[in-house]
Amino acid sequence: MKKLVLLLAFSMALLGPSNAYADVSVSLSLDRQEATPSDSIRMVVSVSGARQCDVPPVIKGLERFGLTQGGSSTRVEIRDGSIRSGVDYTYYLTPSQPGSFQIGPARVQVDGDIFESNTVLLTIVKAAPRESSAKGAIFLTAGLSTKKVYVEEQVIYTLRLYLRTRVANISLELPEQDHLTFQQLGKPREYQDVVDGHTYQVVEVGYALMGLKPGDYRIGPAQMEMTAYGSGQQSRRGFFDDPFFSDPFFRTGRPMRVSSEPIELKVVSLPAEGKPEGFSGLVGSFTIASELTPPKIRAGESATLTVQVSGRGNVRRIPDLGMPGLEHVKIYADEPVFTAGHDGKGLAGTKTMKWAIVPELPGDYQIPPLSVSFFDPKAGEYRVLQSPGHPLAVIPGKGKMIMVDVEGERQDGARKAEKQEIREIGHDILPLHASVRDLGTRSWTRNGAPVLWAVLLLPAFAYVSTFLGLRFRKRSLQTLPAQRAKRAARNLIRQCRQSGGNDPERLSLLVRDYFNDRFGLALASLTPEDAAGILASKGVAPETAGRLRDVLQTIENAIYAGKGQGAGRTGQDIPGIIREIEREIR
Amino acid sequence: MRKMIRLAIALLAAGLSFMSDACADSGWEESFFKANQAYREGHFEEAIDGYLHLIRSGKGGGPVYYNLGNAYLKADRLGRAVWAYERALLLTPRDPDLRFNLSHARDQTVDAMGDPRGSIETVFFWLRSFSLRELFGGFAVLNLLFWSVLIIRLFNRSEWLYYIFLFVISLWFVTGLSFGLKYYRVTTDDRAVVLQKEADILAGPDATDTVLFKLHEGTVVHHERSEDGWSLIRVSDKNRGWVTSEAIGRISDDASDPN
Repeated sequence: MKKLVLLLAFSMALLGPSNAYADVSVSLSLDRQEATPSDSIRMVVSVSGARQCDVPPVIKGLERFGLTQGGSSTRVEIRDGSIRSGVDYTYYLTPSQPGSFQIGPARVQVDGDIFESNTVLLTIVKAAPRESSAKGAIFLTAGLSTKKVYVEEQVIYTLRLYLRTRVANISLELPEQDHLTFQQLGKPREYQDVVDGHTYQVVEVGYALMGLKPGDYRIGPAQMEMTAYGSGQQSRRGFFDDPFFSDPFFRTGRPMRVSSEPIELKVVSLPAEGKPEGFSGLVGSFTIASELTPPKIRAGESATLTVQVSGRGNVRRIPDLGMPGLEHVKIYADEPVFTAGHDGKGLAGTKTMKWAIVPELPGDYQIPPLSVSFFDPKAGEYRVLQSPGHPLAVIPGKGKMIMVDVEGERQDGARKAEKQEIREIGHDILPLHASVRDLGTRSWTRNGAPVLWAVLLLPAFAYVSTFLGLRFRKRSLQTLPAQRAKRAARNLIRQCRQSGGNDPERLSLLVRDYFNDRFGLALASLTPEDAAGILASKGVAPETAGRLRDVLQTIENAIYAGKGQGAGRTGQDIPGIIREIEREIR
Repeated sequence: MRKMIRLAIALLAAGLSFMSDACADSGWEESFFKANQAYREGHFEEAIDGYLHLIRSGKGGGPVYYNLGNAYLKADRLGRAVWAYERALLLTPRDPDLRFNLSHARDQTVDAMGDPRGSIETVFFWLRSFSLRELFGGFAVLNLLFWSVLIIRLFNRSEWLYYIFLFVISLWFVTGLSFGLKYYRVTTDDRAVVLQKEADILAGPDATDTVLFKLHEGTVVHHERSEDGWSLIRVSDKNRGWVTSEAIGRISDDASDPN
């Protein structure tokens, strides 16, 4: 409740004199005039007479410093009986090199007017070796478990951050060095320690460090950056000494960077003397274990040999062991399984290798031991690990080959092998054909094959006949009128000659029939004028048509008027006229 | 009128000839059964004579040649058995028993034989599955159909008839081509089978000529020509030579026993 009342009063004080500013002034200040590159310097730009600026201050002389903003705060002060407001901009400078630097001026803009601050001289000196008694509230140490190691022997590199104040946002920058590798060993751990009579909170993180090549290495300092908050220690208790204001919300963090000391490390080569054949470069401390299950099987069944190589060191160099071949035994290697981890003493791992062993014949077998060599840095010599041999008793199988479940292809092969080939027991021909069907017609294509040709050609002959018949019929229809005309003329001429032209009535009928046959008419009687008209319409010349008209007129006269003398001569004229007509019509 | 009389006489003669043949054929079934019975009783030579009699009398169908091949094989005359089976294969190419027995006979031959399939059979693979008679029957039917459709089209030129014509002419062409090729293969079949247990292949048509190589019964060779009781045969491009004509039997000779 007390906190709440004070906060309300403070807020009212801030909001009340919103327009109570005049005579704007700007000042720049540092929390120290001399510092080292590992320090961070607090810089404050104070603007009095205004609660805010148009733009953030622009500060000169910071080219060689890292700049971190620390926020801004407004303030209200009562001076000479008048209320003045102001705003403070806080920054933290991180120097990058020694030297003297002029910081400032800071330039601010308030309501369009430019105001400048003072300048401050800052001297950055080289950091002096820190004495153990001079340790501050925050410091970082680095250490090695040993200063001399063999190639690829792992050494523990430990970083410890000692804290007497609250920090946040810690970041670590490990030293970089060729041919040296760092691998973190688990999460950082925290504990308390007392140094020079002060109690520190210690944050410790370990790394497995390996030298890949022999040589003398100087491991540079590791650096940690963080935001440190003030310890809040006051010489006397004041108004703001209330625990409420010790909350980080009311504190201002400042960036910090601490470094560890450099360390020397010597990496020596592995001794050439005593190096086993097939040495894989494994360095550390290792063990081997093996197991054969089951120790007794049937022929064709499988037993599993499991070999485990485990230990601490450069475990990724644990080799894949080879299983020597055995007579009458099929061996199928499984894919090795590698697991790696770490403990407090460094990197550790295990490689598990399995083999499926399938004896084909019964008997007692001896599975040979497997070996792996490594260099023991503690003893300074090479060692060879050897797994124990395993006896395998194989009793007769059940006749079927059961393949191990190692590779699907081999299983398929086994299934194929289980199929039995058809074995011929007897060999003979198949029996006689007793059916009389299909016995006849030998050599039907020989001797000219008349049937063949007849069958093939008869349909074609039928087609040709039909085609020609149709053509003939069609042509006959087209020539029918001409034939009829020729026949009609021929009949008339023959009849005229036979009758001699003495019978006018017969001549009249013959001419009428000629016209009916010749032109396809059905005339019951034919007058001379009609005959002339028909001939003219068929294209006969008028003279010829006139001659026939005259002849017919003469015949009519002979018939109806009894003038029969002219009919005989007329009958003799008709064939000539008809021939002329036929010629002209054609 | 005279023409009509001549035609009637010709038809009568043909009918009488057909009836005469039918009467003459009345005993061939009995001969066939007798030969089969002789085979079953183990009288293989008697069975062979019976089957050959049938063949000579015009009843040389596929089953007769098949049975003859069986009888030859039982009588331990491998070359003639192969010859008879090959003859039967021309007439009944899809007979599975025949193929089995022919394969059995080929297994017993001494000389290695390549695939006698020619390029025509490779391209027109179905030719081996049909006999010449079957191909002719199919072509005859399609030929009749083809000309019938053409005749119908003289009177009716509808569209559906046009498509039928296209379909029929396609089949007509394929079967006609197949029949023609088969006919060519059959009439130009130069294969022959070695009938003797062992035949000397000489460099020339004389017994004193150099023996080039030997062939054994059942081996299928190609016959090129014959001169004075000698035949020029070819096994491959490298192996050619002369052999006595009685030592081989041509597969295309269907009239009687090869020897």
